[in-house]
Amino acid sequence: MADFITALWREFEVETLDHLEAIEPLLLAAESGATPDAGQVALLFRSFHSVKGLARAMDLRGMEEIAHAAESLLSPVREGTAPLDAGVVAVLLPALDALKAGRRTALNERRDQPAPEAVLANLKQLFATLTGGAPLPEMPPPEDTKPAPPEPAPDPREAVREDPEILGYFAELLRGALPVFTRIVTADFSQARVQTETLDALERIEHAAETMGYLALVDHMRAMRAIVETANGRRLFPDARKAVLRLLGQIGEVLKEIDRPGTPGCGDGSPPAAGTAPASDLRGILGHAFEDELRETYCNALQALSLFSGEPEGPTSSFDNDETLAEDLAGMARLLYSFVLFLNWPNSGDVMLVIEDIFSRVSTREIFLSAETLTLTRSAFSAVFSTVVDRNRLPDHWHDISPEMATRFTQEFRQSLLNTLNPARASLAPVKVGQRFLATLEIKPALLEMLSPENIAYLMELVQVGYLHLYEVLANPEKSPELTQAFLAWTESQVKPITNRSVFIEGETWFEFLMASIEPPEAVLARVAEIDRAGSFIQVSPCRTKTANGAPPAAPAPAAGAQPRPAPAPPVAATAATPADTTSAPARGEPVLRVRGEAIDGLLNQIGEMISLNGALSLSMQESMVSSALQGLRRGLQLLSENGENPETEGLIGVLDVLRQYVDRMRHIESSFSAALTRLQEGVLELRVVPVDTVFGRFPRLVRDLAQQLGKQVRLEIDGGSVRIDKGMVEALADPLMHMVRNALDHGVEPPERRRQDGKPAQATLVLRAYRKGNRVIIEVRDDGAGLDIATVRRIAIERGLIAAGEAARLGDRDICRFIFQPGFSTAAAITETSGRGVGMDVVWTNVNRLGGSVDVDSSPGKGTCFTLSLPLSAAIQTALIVAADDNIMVIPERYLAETCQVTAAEIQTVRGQSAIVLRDQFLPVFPLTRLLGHQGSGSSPTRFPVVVIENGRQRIGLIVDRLYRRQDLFVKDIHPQLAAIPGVGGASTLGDGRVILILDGDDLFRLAEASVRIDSDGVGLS
Amino acid sequence: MKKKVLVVDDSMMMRTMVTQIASSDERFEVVGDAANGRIALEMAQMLKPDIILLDIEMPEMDGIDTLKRLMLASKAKTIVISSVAQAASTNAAEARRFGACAVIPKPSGAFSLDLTQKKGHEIIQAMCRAVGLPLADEEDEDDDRHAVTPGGLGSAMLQPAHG
Repeated sequence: MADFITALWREFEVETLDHLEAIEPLLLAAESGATPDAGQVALLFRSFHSVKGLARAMDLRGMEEIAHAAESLLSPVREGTAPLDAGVVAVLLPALDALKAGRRTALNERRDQPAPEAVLANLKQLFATLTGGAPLPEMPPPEDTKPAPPEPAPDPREAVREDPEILGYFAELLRGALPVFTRIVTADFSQARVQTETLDALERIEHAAETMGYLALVDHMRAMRAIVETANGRRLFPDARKAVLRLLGQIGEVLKEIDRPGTPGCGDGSPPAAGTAPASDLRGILGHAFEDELRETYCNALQALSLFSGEPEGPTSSFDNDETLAEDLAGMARLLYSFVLFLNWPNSGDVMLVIEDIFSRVSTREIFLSAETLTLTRSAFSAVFSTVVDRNRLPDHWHDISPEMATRFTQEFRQSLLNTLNPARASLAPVKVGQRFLATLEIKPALLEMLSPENIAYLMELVQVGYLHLYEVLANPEKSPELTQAFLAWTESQVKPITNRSVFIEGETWFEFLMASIEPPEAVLARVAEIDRAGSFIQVSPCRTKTANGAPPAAPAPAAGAQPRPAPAPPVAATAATPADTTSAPARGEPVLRVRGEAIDGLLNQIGEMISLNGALSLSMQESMVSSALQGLRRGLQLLSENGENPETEGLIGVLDVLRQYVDRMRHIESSFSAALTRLQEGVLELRVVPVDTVFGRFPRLVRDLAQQLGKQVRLEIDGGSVRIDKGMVEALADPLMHMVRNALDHGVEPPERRRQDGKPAQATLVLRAYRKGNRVIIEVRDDGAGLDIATVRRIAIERGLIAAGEAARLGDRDICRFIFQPGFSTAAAITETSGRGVGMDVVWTNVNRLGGSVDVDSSPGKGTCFTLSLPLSAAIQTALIVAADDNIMVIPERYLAETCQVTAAEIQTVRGQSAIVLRDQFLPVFPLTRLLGHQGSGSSPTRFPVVVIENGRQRIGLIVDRLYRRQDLFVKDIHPQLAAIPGVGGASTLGDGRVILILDGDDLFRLAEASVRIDSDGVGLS
Repeated sequence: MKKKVLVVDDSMMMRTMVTQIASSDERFEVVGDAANGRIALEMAQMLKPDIILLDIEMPEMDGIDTLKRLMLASKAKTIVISSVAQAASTNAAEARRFGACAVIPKPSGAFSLDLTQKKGHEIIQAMCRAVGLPLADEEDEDDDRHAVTPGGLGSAMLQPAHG
């Protein structure tokens, strides 16, 4: 339970901050004269409203009261009866501050802070002014009141019929259901899922129709559900399909009713709602949505028609490949039928039904398709869809064919069918189909000759009920009585003999059968093996489909009844966005997860471990002795084999090669793993990034308040706020940026009179700008103020002994500017409230450096100053050089590294007690790293040792170490405070073996170096 | 079988709280929560809840818009939980017109009070009425023992802040 409370508080903290942060920029924009759009006003309103709800939930009456008053004040603004002007903002800003204060108190002390009276009074007063004296609406009491007994709900049907939007949703629902209707007719319900989904969809429409009061439609949906429920595991029976098609027709009628302007509903006889006209564009909405789908289906149907091949001899002769195609066409005709129903085209619907009926019957070989029928179908299609194919014609201008035309087509179709169905042909039909079926199989001609028309008719009957597999069986069943018995039993159960003939083989009479079976070859062969264990009396060979003619071995057409082909794919459900919804937020479709920062940090920590492990792995692969050991072994073995001492050495060399390949492969894997790990790390770092706006966002208010306080006019420009930076960076950046902005306003920007005298606009411009540059983020703080007083900076630098007078004269302006980053440096003539306490820019320098970044300044007198921060994308991972000094492994962050070099003991000189080397004609003070860190050196004095040169932009020193290892990406961990207190130590990381290594802090090192030798103005110094 | 409840509110905190309230009565089970109307509609079709607890002020698709669609797309009883300023007037009437069975104010007082037993009472009552279950504990509403019910939040809420 306490967890739950904690979770609530955490959510409260996050969500109130989100809302409060959203408010301020909107208010400031409004104050500066920009007219907020409706979306912004709505956001403002909602933000106060949400804060109110959150405060109420936590029983924070003070916050609730302010948010309630602010929300109420915004009501007339939202309704457009009051402007959001400077006057309103002047009252809302203090309200915002009060909310922030209340929030802080609530979070820190978990107690309510009463609303400041003055703030509330102002809100109330302004509300009264705006509304012509109305008091604030009352807040709900803190305690739940006993709920009033619920009043009877108004009949929703009244509401829905008056609401065009709802009619739109209903149309949307129906449109989405179109594929469902089509599927009912064509679907194979042997998958329970298909049936469940269909029933669900029907129930949904039924419910919607019920809500709308379209009772006739409700009845139709119920009827359809009843039919689908009977489908259990099969396709619908033909009768059921016909019923569904009829129902679809009736639904079309209902839709036509709904569509009729002024008719609110049908079936319940209620009078139309006065003065309302339900959206009469239902058909328009539907038609427009499946315009393309309809065209596509139509084209497919035309294409299918053209695929009927063969050489029909006369108007009543038939095509070769009609059955499967016919079934496709029947499906398409059904689809087209539902389309025309939704278009409310009853005449076209009649014609489509006739076509569907014809092709269904062709596919079941009930009738044959004649050239005449085919031609007729083509002309019927083009008559019905003549307006649809014209892409320039909008659906509004599509239309149905005339009833006369529909009647004409129906009659012509009937006549063409009569021609096909002449009695003589009809009786022969199954035999002809059977012959064509048999012709597709590889059967011995001798057996085929034995087949009488009756046999074929019998075979076709069998095929109808599922005897799809034909076998040639050669048997000599009279060998033994048992065998005869078993054989007879078999022919009465698993297989059905169609015909047989006798064959003489080696003086014995064998029988050759053509048999049909439901069972596939494996099952039949297995059964035969049981009957004839010796395998010498019965031979079975399945009749295979011919493939010689190149045609695909289509499933035998008669199979259609028993082995359904997959139903034509249902048309894709139209999922277009609601036309009514025009205010879709960009975030739509991108669900946003709120993840606790710690969770990501934890993940990053784990990856950090992996990176360290991977580092150890690479190291061991590189430094491993295995390669050289293997090489040594190989040389030895070669020597042995050359001396002919051992014949097996040849073989051992082979083994060695295997080992070497293995090592190579490991290296390869290791490098792929490294790359994958880097990508993983980058991916997780992406999770930690937030827009720079999270930092920039607080400046508009700060600049506004500061400028007012200082009597200056400043316009703040923010650019690149959407650039993303590491979350850890955000917190650490806030302070430095604050200092720089204050500095700019305090010292950079001149008072308006002064600016006018200088010929500048009275309003100064301060720019905060962020952009990415490679793998760094650059942030600029630029003002167009007076610029730094370079002469003063130079003077103070010399006064404070930071630089020799001679040196100072040589340095350029830009180099002089950089002295403001020195600790304790301040040029302020007066210590003001905002800055100039002498802790300004050096704090910036330190913080930015701690983040692995750098800061630079550029200034021109009279034109302004620009501070540039350059930051790594992530504060968590640093590249560093691993070194060893007196058996300690330490790392030096790469950003301090200048170079490394090898030095001999003889090269070290002592200048005024300070060791130094000459590097490129310059003295460079050097320090043994261990001694700098306060350790006792081991006293060993090698003759040659590496020196790591580090710099911080102002100084360079050399660090003497024992050994240089490698550069590596390290994950910087938080370290124990005691460890952090060690001078020179900035952080810690772990190596693959779990050893903790210390990350040195470059600035600390310089400070330690300074402490160990007082810099002298004209000596070697830390130049 | 427990009645299935869907919670819709743009505030995660509100969802957390309302979920806690709704599931404090063992006859109800919160099967999902949604941050806006659009998601709510999808979830309503998928989860087929019996009750939907719906906020009015939401970005993306607000409560009234959602109601309009829900009445066609779901059979769930919808209860609007809202603290819009004029809850008593326009919005409430609008919500009722589009099929909400009840409009009740947002819960208050997680800060110091017994959330599930006292503060959530109205929500639970509305839920019971919506699906025709007997009202929860009507007769012993004034009974003090709720404050010490193991599921209650009374004492937990009063614990001082951690730091």
